[in-house]
Parts: sequence; C-alpha cells; structure tokens
Amino acid sequence: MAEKQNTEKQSAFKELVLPVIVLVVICLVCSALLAVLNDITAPIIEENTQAETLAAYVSVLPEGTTTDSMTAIDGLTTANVQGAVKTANGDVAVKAAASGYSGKDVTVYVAFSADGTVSGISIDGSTQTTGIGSKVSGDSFASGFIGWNGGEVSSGSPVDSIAGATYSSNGAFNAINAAIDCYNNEIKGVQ
Amino acid sequence: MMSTHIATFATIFFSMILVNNYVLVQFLGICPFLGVSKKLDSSAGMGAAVIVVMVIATAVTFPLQIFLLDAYNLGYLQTIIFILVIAVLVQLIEITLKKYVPALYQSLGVYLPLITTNCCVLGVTILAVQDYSAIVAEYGFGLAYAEALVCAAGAGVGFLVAMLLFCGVRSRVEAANPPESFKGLPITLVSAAITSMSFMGFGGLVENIINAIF
Amino acid sequence: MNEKPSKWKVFTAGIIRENPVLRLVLGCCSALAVTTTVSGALGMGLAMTFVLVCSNIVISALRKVIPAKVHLPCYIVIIATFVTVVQMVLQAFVPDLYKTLGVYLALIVVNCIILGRAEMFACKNTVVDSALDGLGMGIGYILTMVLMSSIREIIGSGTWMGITLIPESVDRMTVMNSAPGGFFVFGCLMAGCVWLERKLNKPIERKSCGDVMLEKIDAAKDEQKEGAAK
Repeated sequence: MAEKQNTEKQSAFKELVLPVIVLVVICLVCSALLAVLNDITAPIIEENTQAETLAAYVSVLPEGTTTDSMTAIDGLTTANVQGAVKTANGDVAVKAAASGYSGKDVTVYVAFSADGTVSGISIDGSTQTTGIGSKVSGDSFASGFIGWNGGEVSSGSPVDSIAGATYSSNGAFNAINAAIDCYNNEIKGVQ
Repeated sequence: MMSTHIATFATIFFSMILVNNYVLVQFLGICPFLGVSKKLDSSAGMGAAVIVVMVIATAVTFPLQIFLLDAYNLGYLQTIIFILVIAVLVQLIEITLKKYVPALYQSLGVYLPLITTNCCVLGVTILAVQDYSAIVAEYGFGLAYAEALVCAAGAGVGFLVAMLLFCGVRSRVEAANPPESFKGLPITLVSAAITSMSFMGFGGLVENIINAIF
Repeated sequence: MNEKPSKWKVFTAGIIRENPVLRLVLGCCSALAVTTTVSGALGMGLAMTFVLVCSNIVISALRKVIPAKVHLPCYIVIIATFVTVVQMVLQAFVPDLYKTLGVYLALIVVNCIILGRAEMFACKNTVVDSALDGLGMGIGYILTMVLMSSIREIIGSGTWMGITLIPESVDRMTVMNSAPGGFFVFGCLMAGCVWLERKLNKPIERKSCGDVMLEKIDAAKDEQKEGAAK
C-alpha cells in the first residue's frame, strides 16, 4: 500500500513538478547568460550610438569641424529638443524630434551659424512611410531650409510641404521650429 | 485637441490596414497567409483570432516594457519575455474562452494554438514598443499606450483584410490554368505580388482622406 | 533496425534535397523581407545559421532532460536566447546590419525553420547530427537568400553587394525593392525549382507550414463536429 502511494507520488512529481523545475532552470540559465553578454556589449552599443549622434552633428556643421572641436550644451529645456553642441567658431547644431505620420518621430539636426542663420540641416524620415513621408529626408526638401533666418518655419516658408505627406512634413517643420526656438531662447542669448 | 487625437488614431489605424499592411507590405505572418487563405471560413476565423491575440498581447507587453524592462535596464530580455508572454496569454485566452464563452471558443478555439508561433503577433508587440515607447516621455504613458493599442488593432484588422481579399483572389487563380511549373505555390506567390502591388496605391491616400475629414 | 543516414547525407540534405526555403517552404517571412540587398540577405543568413546550429546542439543535448509537456516553451526560451545573443553582438559590432535587419532579426525566434528543425530533427538525434543538420539547413538558406537578393538588388538597384553593375543612365525597376517584387521573385524562383524537378523527373509535393496549419485546423474542426454530434 505504502509502496503504491510512493510510486503515485513519484509520478505526480514527474508529471507536474519536474517540467516546471526544468523550465525555470532553463530560463534562469539563459537569463544569466544574456546578462553577462549584455554587460560586455552594452558599453560598446552606447559608444556606437554616441558616435553616430556626433557624426550626425558633424555632417551638418561647416566643413572642417571635427568631433573633438565640439562641446555639448547641457541643460536645454525646450520641448522636443534632444541635445545640442557648439564649436569654437560659434557654430551651433541642435538635435530635435517631433512626431510625424502615425505618431512616429521625424528627427532633425539643424546647424546655425553665429548670426542665427540655418547653415546646415539633415532630416531623418526613415520612420515615415517609404516613398512618401520618407521624402522629407531628401535633399530637395531639406536644402530649402539652408540660409533661413526668418523665425518659425511652416509650409511655404521657406519650403512647401511634400504633396501627400502633410504629417511627415509637419513633423519636420515642428522639429525644426523646436531647434530654432531652442537656439534663439536658450543658446543665442547665453553665448 | 480631442479631434487631433482622433485624427492621429484614425491615421494609425487605417495606415496599419492599408499602407503598412503586415502581410502584404511588411511580410509578417506569411505562413498562415499562404496556407490558410485557401478557405474562406478558416481565413475569417484565423483573422479574428489574430486580432484578439494581437490586441491583448500588446496590451500586456507594452506596459511590461515601459515599467519593467526599461525601468530596470533589462531591455536585452525583450525577445524572451515577449514570446513567453504571448505563449502564456494564448493559453489563458483559450482556457477563459472555453470556460466562460463556449460559443466563441467553438469558432476561435481551433486557431488559437497556432497563433503562438505566428510571427505577426511577436512582430506587432516589438514594433509597437519600438515606435510608441519614445513618445511616452513626450505625451505621457496613457496616450502612447492608446496609440500602441490602436496600432495593434489596425495590424490585426489588416491581417484579416489581407486574408479575406487574398482568399477571393485565390479562388480565381485556382480556376485558371497557369504554366505547368507555376502550378500551386509559385502562382500563389505571383498573385500575392499583384495583390501587394494594389496595396502600394494606398500610400498617401489615407493621410489625405483623414486630413480632409478632420 | 533502420539504417542511419551518413553524416555527409545529413549535412547535404538541407542544401538542395531539403532546401528549407524552396523545397520545404519554411521561413518565408524573412526570405521575402530582407532580400532587397545581398549584404542584408547574407547577414540574415549567417545570423539564422548561427541560431539554427546553436539551438539544434543545445536542444539535442537536452533532449532527455526536457519533459514532453513543456518542450515547446523550453525550445522557445533556448532559441530566443541565441537570437538575443545575435542581436546584441550585431548591435555592438555591425550596427548597420542590425538596423537593416530590424525587427526581422528578433523574429528569427518564431521562424518555422528553427522550431521545425528542433521538433523534426534535433529532439530525436545526436548532438553531432543535429549540428550538421543545422549547418546544412543554414547553408541552404543562405544560398537561396543570396540568389534571391542578387536578382532583386541587380534589377532593383543596379548593384551587387553595393558595387554598381548597371550604369546610372539606365532606369531602375524600383518595384523589386518593395513588397510586390519580393513575392514575384520568390514565386518565379520556386517555379524555376519546380521546372528543374520536372526535368529531372523528381517532382515533390510542396507543403508549406501554412498548409500544415490548415490541415491542423481542418482536423480540429472535424473533431469538434464529431464531439457536437455525440
């Protein structure tokens, strides 16, 4: 009798407890492994992202700017602005993002020369619909902003919205306006 | 202000169906698309089950990502946790339906076990987090969460629409007489190409219609 | 007792005889999505092979430990771990490729090639055989992906691995870079494969994982009807 109960207990253990234990052990081992790998790769990934942002700043600033000659500007509070750098010559580049089509962000990097004129710009519309909204990244749209020094931008001043991509264009306009606001209110006066 | 929210939700919803259709444009969930679309009733059932699972899965994984994974820097566990959550959820939905809504279980129960490994469900949870977690800081969790859910619902409806449409296309293709080598799957894929091309025409259209309404 | 297939046969099976994409019709999602450029397709193929080999090894090593009841969650966790490893390594060392592959990298977890091989092969065979099977399947997958992406990249962008082949003055058929081109090239390649099979007099019946799904649905529906009749 006791023996029978014993085997029953054993089979219950095999049926219910063992699977759970095995699954939990596998989960724990896997998570531990990933945690270790994450510790190794996280700093490299962080470095990559930083380098990428710096490279984007360099690409809009006047030729000859290097990553070493830039200093970050901290403590910016303008909404939508994600960061800014300045160079020894008084050039400033601001990174800003605003939501475009179906809630996805359009990111812009805007460079200002010392008098507040837009001297360089790059618009990242890769989150927008390919072939339509993504045209905000195109040169024909972006280059129209260069030389602009008339305050807020909107459709028609200085560039028309892209036909069929109003949301993406507005996302770009809003992000550029955030950068301009930030430059005029927080950076220009201080320097 | 309210109307801009509604406009945003409407654009997200309709562009998930027409412009960014998961099956025909983003290639997610091709397996059920090619197999199950042979029969109309199975397509409809599968599509409905996918909508339910997608919305519930996003409803669970989105807060999980924001409040657990992002908050404690555990982003690297995303894939494991999401797929496990989906697997558990599908089981839970099955049990709940069986117990409390047997009528619905009758029609959807068959499809649920097949959905765990359907890549469009894991796809929607990951893409929703990718696209909408950035705006949590900007607009607050509530709105971001709502947008993610609308996106999931739109993706599910898009899947259903693609399945139903393609089921119709297929019944015509089956009656046709293609070259010997193209019979079966190859001609199905070529007709999928043409169906997908017709969806390309919707780009820009949705946005302009919604702009005109709001 | 059944004669065991030789190691060489196990290895070569995946390359042509059981080519995962064109003959077994597994893993179509990624095959369609990331084949717009050859470099992306190659990267995806390598990532897939790595996950396939590693998960096959671990699953076949643990095949006696994992209880049947929880085999699916266990497989998923093991596969997801290797996918995350690939994700982290790519993000750290090849960030461009990581961006190109995007969400499809994470979706390797639910790719039917890997789960399919785990359930069909790795859980029944030795570690060495499973590793060879994974490697063969991976190579078959890479070859198909490269072939498909070569066609799409040359016609769609006029380049191969980024090298310009067709002069700029010739207009590109950009539709090859978008979704319809993917379906079309895949359909034509499969038709070519069928044509070859017919030439060699070795036609096979193609059964995609979707067809298996439909069969399961039909079976379950019949069961339901029987249950209702009783």
